Amino acid sequence: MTAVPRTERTTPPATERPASFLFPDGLLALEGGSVRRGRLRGAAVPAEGDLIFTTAATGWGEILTDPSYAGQIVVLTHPMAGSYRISGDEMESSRVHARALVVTRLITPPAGPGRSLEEMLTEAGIPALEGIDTRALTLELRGGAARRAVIRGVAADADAGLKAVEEARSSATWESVDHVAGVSTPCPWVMPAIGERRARAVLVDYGVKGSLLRALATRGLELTVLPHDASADDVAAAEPELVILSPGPGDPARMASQIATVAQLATRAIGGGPRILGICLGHQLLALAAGARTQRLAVGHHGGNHAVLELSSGRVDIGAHNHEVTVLDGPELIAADYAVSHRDLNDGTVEGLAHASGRIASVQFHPEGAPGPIDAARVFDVALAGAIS
Amino acid sequence: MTAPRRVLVIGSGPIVIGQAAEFDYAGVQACLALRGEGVETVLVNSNPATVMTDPDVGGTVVIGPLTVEHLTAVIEEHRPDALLPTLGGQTGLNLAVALDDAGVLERSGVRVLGTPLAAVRAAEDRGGFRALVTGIGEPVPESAVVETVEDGLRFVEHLGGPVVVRPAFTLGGGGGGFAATLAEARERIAHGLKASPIGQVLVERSLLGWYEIEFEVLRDAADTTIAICGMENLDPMGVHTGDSIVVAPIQTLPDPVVQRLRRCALKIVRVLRLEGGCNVQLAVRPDGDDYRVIEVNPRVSRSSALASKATGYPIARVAALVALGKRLDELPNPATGIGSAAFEPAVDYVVVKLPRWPFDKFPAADRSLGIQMKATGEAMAIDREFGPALLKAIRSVEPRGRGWLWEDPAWGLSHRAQEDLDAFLAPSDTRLWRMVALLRHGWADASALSSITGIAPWFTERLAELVETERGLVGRPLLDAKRAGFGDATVAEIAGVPPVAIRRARVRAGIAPAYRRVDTCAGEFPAETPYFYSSYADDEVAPPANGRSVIVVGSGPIRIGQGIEFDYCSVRAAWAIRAMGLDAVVINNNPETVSTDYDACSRLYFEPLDIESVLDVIDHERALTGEPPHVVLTFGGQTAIDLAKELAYADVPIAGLTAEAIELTEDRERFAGLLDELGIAGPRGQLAATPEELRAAIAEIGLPVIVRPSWVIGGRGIAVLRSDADVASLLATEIGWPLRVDEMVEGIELDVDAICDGVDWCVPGILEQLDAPGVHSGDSVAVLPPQRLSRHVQERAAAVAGRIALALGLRGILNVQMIVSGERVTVIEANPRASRTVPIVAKALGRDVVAAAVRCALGASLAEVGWQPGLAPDAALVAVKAPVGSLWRLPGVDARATTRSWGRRCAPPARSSGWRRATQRRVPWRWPRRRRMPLLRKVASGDGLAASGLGRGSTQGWIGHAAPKVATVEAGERADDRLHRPVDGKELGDGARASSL
Repeated sequence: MTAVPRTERTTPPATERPASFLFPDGLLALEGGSVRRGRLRGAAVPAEGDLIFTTAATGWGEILTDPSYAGQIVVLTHPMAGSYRISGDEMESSRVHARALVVTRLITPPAGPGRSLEEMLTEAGIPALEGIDTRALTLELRGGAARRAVIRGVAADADAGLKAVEEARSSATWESVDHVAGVSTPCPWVMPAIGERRARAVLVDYGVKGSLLRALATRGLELTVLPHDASADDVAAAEPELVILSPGPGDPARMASQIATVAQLATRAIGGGPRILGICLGHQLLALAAGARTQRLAVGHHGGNHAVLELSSGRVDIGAHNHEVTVLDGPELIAADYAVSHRDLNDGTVEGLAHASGRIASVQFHPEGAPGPIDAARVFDVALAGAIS
Repeated sequence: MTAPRRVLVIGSGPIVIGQAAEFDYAGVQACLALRGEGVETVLVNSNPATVMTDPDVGGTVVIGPLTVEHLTAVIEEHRPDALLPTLGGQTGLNLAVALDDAGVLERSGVRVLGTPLAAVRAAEDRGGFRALVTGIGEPVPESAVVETVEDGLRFVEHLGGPVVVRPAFTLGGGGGGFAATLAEARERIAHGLKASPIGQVLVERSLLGWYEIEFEVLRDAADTTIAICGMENLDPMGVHTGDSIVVAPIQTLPDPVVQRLRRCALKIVRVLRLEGGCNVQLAVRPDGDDYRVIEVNPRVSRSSALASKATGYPIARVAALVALGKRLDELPNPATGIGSAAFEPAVDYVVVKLPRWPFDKFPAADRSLGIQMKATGEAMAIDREFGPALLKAIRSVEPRGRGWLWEDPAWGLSHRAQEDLDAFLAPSDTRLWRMVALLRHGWADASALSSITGIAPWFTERLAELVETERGLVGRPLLDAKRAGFGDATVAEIAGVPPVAIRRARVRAGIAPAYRRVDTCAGEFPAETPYFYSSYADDEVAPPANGRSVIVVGSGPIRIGQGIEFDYCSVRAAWAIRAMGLDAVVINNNPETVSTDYDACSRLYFEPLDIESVLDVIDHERALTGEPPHVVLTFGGQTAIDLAKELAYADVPIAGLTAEAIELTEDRERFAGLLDELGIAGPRGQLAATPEELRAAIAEIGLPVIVRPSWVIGGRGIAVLRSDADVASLLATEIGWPLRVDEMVEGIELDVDAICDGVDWCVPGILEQLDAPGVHSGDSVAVLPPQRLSRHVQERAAAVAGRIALALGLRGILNVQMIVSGERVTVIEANPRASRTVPIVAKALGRDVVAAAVRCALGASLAEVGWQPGLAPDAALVAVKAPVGSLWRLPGVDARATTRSWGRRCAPPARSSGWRRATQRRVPWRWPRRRRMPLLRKVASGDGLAASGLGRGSTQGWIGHAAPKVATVEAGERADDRLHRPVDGKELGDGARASSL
């Protein structure tokens, strides 16, 4: 911290101006008809997808590269985005999966190592729309607004907004797209345990995050990562002591073949085969395989501040949540010997299931955090302990 | 755990620097929460100017000294079965530990609720804490005790970074210091070893320049642990967090770092097994790769008050319920009503807190900032982005002309560079403005500022951005300026037009702020919190209004001369308004206070208290309710009263008061005229516009004289001149001409509060000052009812106040200061607002004076509010208030004044038990245990019960039974003598030092 006395005036530093509201060059149109104008940042290309909002105030690198955001336009409720440079450690996968970002303010971070959020967007060919009042948008979404939306540049024509609304209405629904196939690994691969190998596991990749792989590997799990369409026999061939059904994007109800595979895996687990830990999408697939139903939430959980109650122990953990769909609590679960093990304390949604055999457990939230707390990471330890025993 | 039956709550005593209104806020929340659960509370506090010491809040209230002896007596008398120690600041915590050490708790069967005292001891004991924290693998600043230079250097080499050397057993750390290099370290250690009488130094890793992060954590007995809020200090390590600009949520750190720090905080709170709120301070290396645990405060604090207001999560209330054994997940969500209290608030805005320093009162004080806190108060601002929030915070601290554009002409930055930027940018109260000025004039860019100050580049870049926006404002649409956060006054100054023109332009163009709800969940769920901030953003659905609203304008940050008393008044006013079935709307910006608790009113607007924001809220309320709101200014101290004139220009009627009445009282010439008309004596005086006129006036009136500028607050700029030397030294300072020069009237000074309904008046109580006139009433010991005046004279004094109230056409409350000598009553000044004496009067009478005043202001008659015209009968007890100062915190401030504030001691009077029983039926609070010594004799004998705290301006009060009048008078004079001996009256006359009361 040495003094830099200046005797000459520097030219005023080049800093960006706050978003101009006079000359917006981009717009966000919802299928419900609302149109908002802002400024296009990142890659100046149009985008379409389902609008979801996250209340996380940090973790843009993790959010953008999380495969679970495939097909979604992410609205950041926190108004100041991109405040720090994003390092490679914050990448959850090799590429950006979100379709676009909607922000109040996109900041150019101070110089330093790592990429700015905008650089990351530009490289990925993803637009951000800046200057949107994301609280107002969030309240609209919370109020039940339909979520298909498009972001596009403002053309010269006067009815750009109307056209964009039409585009949003004619875009593919989130539920209709097989997002998992687009993000899963195309071929099997092995991630060695970090440190001493304590158990072998198969992870079925529906769209896994790097943090989850790291969390498992650092606990001594050697992971064979299989594509989403791996069969029960493919899984068995790897001779795992634990099967992990990964998180992933999209609506699980449309994944009939994976559900059938999971049903087979579950039957084997109950019969003494490898135990199963389902996370997020994996949790939903387990529930569907057991005959239960899932439903898209009126307001998806995206953020790092929800508390989850573990019913058996009474323990409460703040967790990272990222799900649009929830498992419906019902007689089907009971009939299949599943009990709800975790519940969200905000809205009571099912956040975890446990099979009576003690060999299948699943959680809806993300014990690996990223972004967000990892207060409930013992979920992994419990699963590992079960696998080793 | 069975629920306790009766809980003892310890308050924090007088307001001092570092311990302010936040503990009133915490205490109020806790008492209401406990009583809501059916638990009785016994509250002990020595500061009567608090909301918590009202019996409808505190339950059984004991106003008395915060000592082990007294608390033991309270425990024996009231037999609580539990103690809640974590809500009264460090004072309360220390007392609880001391009570435990003395065996009192065990003996009386009092169990400690919430955080166990073992945990408190573990957190407070430095050595033990280090061991505990390192034991769970969390890092503390490395240190070593060495006795040779070689050992010291080996440790420095091992650390590989700058160190601080602290010699053992030297006074004030003499001989120690900072060493950046090995050579410097060698020199420092050698020097330190020599300086230490036992030849020993502590070598510690220096964290200078690391970023300072705080977490507010809540934990319950079931081990559920949540971080309510992470906050980032803009000023890096080295500046006390109370003197730092604080930003929430954390802005500059990546998620992995934030999570690592949060985990560390949670881990520490868990290992300490705290049950309740806790503050964890951490230092992070600027690259984010390394951190250290600095400090843990196992209690609610100033930071937890800030976190509560920043997020909308009521930490103290929930902490009190947790202390009762409730689980966080079983408590209802305090904001949304659905879900549980176990969640971490998500915010969709940025909060900026700016400290308020007392340097305007002490121009000679050392204005540098360091590890010793100097700020008396703080203001918080909320907006969607950092820039607007910072600009709003600057407007909120009311820096008297020190807006965003302010520059000290002495800096000369418009035409020359600063030679030594390191010195220029050393931490001080003006560093923010200095940085902005350097950017504005192009002498430095953001990265230079960051490398010099160690402030994170993110912040300096935001400042540069604001400067850039400021530069480009002219010629751009007004909406851009408003969205960027610039206040009307700043825009006007840049554009060279009067501020009112900007407002007019805004009104014409329909540019007005929207009001956003602070909902703890970033809009994820519907919330009912009636808590709002303005932002130039899209409109939000308005909350339902019940009917015509009444706006209570608060008093902003605590400063000398404007303390917690006005918060008391604002809160009682809001409650009275709600009780009338109207919507009570509060505007304030002080995060420490009860009035900025959204539970205290129907709608809370967290806004600056300038004309722009107040008018915006008034417009918004009008739109909301369809009717023009009533505006009450009389309870927000001078801050609120200062708005009257501009509100009048804007055609906003003020409840019970006209701008004309305010001007009549504040313009000393016109006030003298009014007194003449009424046939009331005022001091002889003249106006002096030049030094020559001043000398002429003094020649005519004769020394001593009091001089003051025409418009004053808390004695700012007031001086007592006793000699020609005083005159010369006054003329040597910067004076705001013209000055009013008044004769020093000798006699007994009285503080008279009158309530008037426009037809009749009443005076609830009179405070008699024990100090000679010329000592500011805020610095004087005072007693109620007067002990040296006959009832007849008191009635005359009351009548004088009443006549002034009627002549001013007031409805509501008025404070008159007067001096009585013999039969002659001389009026010094009148303030058409609640004064700092109101809480004392209310406590002494056991009646809600504020409610009566606010109802009269809104149109009720005295009879309707249950008061008889005239001077109320004497309270059957004697109340004494003694001021407390914090001047020792402020190097450079005259030590004699310090001595005086230190010297204050007071004792409760004796009372007869027969009488106590009688009053206990009438007045629902109780008195401290009986002392046999008469009131002021005890003072004179010097062994009073409690040393006054070292205050930033506050009060300790005791209330007790009337002492024999003769003894009181005699003792009073002796006390007077004693108190004056070490002091030259001049320093004392120089405006309120001790402030609030």
